[in-house]
Amino acid sequence: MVRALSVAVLLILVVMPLLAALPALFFAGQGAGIRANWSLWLVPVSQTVLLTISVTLLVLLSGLAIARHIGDSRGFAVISVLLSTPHVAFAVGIMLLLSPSGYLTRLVHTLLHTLPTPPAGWPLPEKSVLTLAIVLLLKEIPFLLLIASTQLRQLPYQQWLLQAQSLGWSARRAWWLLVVPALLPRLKLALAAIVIYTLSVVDIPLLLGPNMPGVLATVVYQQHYKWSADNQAVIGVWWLLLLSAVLFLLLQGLLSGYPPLVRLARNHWQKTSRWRWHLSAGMGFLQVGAGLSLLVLAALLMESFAGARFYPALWPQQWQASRWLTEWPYIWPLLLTSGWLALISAALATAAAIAVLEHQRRTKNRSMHWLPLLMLFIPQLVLVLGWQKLAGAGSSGPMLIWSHVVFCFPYTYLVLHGAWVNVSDRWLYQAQSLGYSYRQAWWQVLLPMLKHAVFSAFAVAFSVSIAQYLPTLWLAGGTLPTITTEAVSIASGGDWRLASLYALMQALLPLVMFTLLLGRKTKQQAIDVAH
Amino acid sequence: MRALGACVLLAFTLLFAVIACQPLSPRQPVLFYAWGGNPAVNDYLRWAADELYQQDIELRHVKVADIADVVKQLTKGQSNADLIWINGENFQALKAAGKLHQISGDISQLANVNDKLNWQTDFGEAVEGLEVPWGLAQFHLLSCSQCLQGNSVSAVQLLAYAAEHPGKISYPKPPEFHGTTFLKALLLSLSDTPELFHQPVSASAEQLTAPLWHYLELLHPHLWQQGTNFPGSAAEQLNWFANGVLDIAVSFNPNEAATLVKQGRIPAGTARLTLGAAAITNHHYLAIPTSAANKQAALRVIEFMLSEKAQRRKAQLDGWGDPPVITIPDANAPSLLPVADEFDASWQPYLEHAWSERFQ
Repeated sequence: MVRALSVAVLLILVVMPLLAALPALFFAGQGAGIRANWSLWLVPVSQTVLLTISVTLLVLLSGLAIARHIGDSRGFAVISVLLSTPHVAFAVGIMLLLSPSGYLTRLVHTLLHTLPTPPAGWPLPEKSVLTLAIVLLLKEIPFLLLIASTQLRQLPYQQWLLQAQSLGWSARRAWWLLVVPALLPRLKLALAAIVIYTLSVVDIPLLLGPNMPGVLATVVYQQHYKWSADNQAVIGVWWLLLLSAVLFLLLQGLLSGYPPLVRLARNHWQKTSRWRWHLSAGMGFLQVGAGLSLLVLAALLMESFAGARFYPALWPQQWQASRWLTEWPYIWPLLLTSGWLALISAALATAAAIAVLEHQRRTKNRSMHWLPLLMLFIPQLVLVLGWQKLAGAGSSGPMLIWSHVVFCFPYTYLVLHGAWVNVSDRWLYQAQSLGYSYRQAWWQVLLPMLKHAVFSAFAVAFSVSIAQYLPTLWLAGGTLPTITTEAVSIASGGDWRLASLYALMQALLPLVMFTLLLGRKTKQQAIDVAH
Repeated sequence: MRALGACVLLAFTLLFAVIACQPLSPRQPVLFYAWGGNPAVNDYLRWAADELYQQDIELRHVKVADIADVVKQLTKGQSNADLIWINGENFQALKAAGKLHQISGDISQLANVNDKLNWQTDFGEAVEGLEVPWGLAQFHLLSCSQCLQGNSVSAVQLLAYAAEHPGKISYPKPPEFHGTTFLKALLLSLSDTPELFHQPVSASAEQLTAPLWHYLELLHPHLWQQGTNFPGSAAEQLNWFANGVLDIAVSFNPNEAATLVKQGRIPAGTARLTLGAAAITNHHYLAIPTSAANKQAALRVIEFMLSEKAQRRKAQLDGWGDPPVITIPDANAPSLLPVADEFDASWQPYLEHAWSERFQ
């Protein structure tokens, strides 16, 4: 039964979407005769490789450095807020804060009167690889932390740390030399997802990235919309696939290179204790992260009420509450549509991941598989175009939900994996020995034990569904506008006051969901301790 | 777990409610795919939807970030669009693919369209009744009150200004259409034989455009970030202009200086001026795809959009401010800029390509 379910899930959510996308690939194949225009690709490709490698490394290092403190519930709240803010809303907020005409420069000018016009040499210009890298970092570190926290739950790492300390090791040494080597292999696929995301995300670099030329994904995107016969988009897709493969191998090499490094370091790293310093550094990031995400929301809120607000005025010269009043009747149906779509998709995606993982658990197959994650490794544009050819336009309802589930499923699998495959069978045996049937034991003992992981997965899937733009627009054929499709089209006009309002509303739903599901942390901790 | 179960149950109830309610609407829905980035346009379309509702038509504005998405769907996939807002290369692509209805014969209001307007060709492409003009676009610059002076600025004057004010001038990166039109306006200002650009690109193109490339070599070092980056869109440039990062913005709506000041989007005192002696002028159109499910209702929407009531409302400066295409009696219509005809369509890809070869 579970085996059949697991196979069915993989067929419906991984194999079918791939097959259904084939028409688009064939169609792309028509351009096979095109010769690569090297001058077009050279800079974007090298720029993208540099960006992806440095962002992934930084995410990994800072993620690992912080991971030790995320058991703390305040820390988890910060992660949730960062993670649930849709990435476009987050990018808009960061720009409002840090761009050359943003709040920071305005504040400097208000205090010191030194910047009468927006500074030309500002380190974070509106468009640069650096700005892009910072936004990506802030979005990806929480994702890695979420995965790391679910994986850490499966390791008795607190005991290791205690033992190491009793042997006179510093906490930092114990963390990097004992826990990290055990944790790293478990993060491999999450890191691969980060690599692919950095490589292929389009909307953030369109907003913040360089455009002379852009990063690879934006160039592919722009080529895709060109009408000329010399369409290089197909070659771009191949570049994307090639780079994914190369960077994945690099990642593999990096991860397998760590243990020898550890052996070397075990002999040479001094044993002094830096417990306090390390702790405060980790908490420092969390506080900065928390502050920043609150500031982002505050900036969006203020902008949504602003009338005219020209540099260097710190506060809006006038306020306009009318924007909220006039838009609200149009916004709430959008919230409703987004909400039910995300609820259903997240529930189905969570159930699907549970089916696959339950099969893995029963067959004692504990490794994280690449097959359920496959959809994270293929550009969304290609997939959706293929599905749409197959299904026809305006097929609202089932097809749309299916597409959302397809994109939510890899995330629920990633989040649930660690907790699920490592839960011990002895709980089931004990329950059965107390007179429960297997089914009762599963529903009444096993599932409640994994409640926290299930809630996390549901919340993440919910926010993934909320953020879907292309599938919602194309598969529903505009008959089901959601808060996201509206927000993206309004952001394209560059009126940040209205766009901020929509971005806030877009951030609201996942935020509510995260608070509802994960805010019950204290109760959960009691259960964890009991275990 | 119980909370989760309740959520799922609620979700399915909502789903069925939504599905069940849909067939109840007696009105004919018209799915109008149109760019959704301009709040003033969105507000106008809300007004139009309210008006049409009384005629038993349900106009649904499907907001898209780029209408090219839909054109791509229409030419290579499927779309449920009943009505689309297009011009230029999007029109050409749809015309070439044979995806547009011949509608000019069905629109009685077409008789009222101002015959002084050169709307029968859309970027050099003959309209042939496949689309109907909705509004008018004139390319010009917006400038702050203390920046560029006068009603027009020539290419040479702009270069001199940029040299005096380094980093304060820029333009949207071609092939963004404002950016490409910026290049065209410079070409007209620099060329001795501007009439040749109304003919298709020929062997002499390189020679004709040489002054432009030479000019840009001189201009770029004085631009924002020394021309190593450009605004991605006119909207982005407008924001930077509003905050004093740049001294100019570009616009296609001849009334935009007035409407945007009213909206509080740009500072008061913003002036409009043409780049070169006249403004490159084109039109934007409404068209019905052959795959439209509700052609009759879509035709009635077009009929309404061209009515005096709708066109007058569209021109109001506290709203969209888009100039009317019909002759409106006694209108205190805001004045148009001096007109320069649009280039032949073949120049568009030529300029984009040549620009990115040199400066990308």
